[in-house]
Amino acid sequence: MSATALIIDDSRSIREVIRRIIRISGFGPVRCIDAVDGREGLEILSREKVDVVFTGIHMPEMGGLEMLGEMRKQAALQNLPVVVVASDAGLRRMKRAGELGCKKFIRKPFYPEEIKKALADTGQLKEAGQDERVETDVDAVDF
Amino acid sequence: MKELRQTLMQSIFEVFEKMFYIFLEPSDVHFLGFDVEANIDFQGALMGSLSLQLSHNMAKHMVSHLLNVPLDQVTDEHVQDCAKEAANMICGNFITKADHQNAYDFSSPQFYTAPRGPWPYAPDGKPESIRLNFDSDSGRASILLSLSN
Repeated sequence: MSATALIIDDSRSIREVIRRIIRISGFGPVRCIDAVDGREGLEILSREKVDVVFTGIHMPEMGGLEMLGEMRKQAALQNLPVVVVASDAGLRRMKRAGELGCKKFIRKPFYPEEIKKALADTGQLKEAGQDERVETDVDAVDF
Repeated sequence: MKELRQTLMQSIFEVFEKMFYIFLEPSDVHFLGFDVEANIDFQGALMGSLSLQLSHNMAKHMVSHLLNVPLDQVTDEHVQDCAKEAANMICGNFITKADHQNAYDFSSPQFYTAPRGPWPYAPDGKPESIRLNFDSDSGRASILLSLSN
């Protein structure tokens, strides 16, 4: 059974880039679902089993951190790994994301390896074949 | 202002190199005739707007490199989304570098197919605006940062 990643961003290009990185990262089949903002993301989470969430911060109807706050109120979603991918990476934003249980904060622009490493670090997906993760001096922050 | 200029330059290079695999050369020439423009406003300890103007060739190459699609399959929708996201990334990256401590609000990026001219609404040379011009094998780009505080 394949794992499922929910990718939330109001930019179609960013959703497509993250989806492509996930697919070529060697984690085996991963089903990717798109959402354009936090509200649509929550709606999908209410009916789909998702293993990992990638989300932006600033989005039209509901931002990523607001969505994360709503997720943590629901028992079923309290421990779901969330990776924030955002260009707005000020200290307050990152601190808030950490308080809400964000697993990783990736700053845009990003290298593909950062998405792959975040995916591996969530522990939700098993890489196909031997571990070939690339350790780089990535611009990402662990919580 | 000189520091902000340097920071903005770093942000543009970082975004174009990491996301679009395009290596920009700074230029002293103020190009005219850009084809598309994306604009984003920011509010916080610093307030203002950032506009990114691109030649059509540059915009198409950015899409092609980002999404791995052939140049002849790049659509107007691709160009619009990509230009807006590029402005968003440059602005967010710049603000994070310029003021890491404070939280900021950002507007949704706006897209213009007919750029609003050579920025008559924020003339070059005003102390509160920074204009940077770039050339590359993929086309031309220009950026204007206007601060209102």
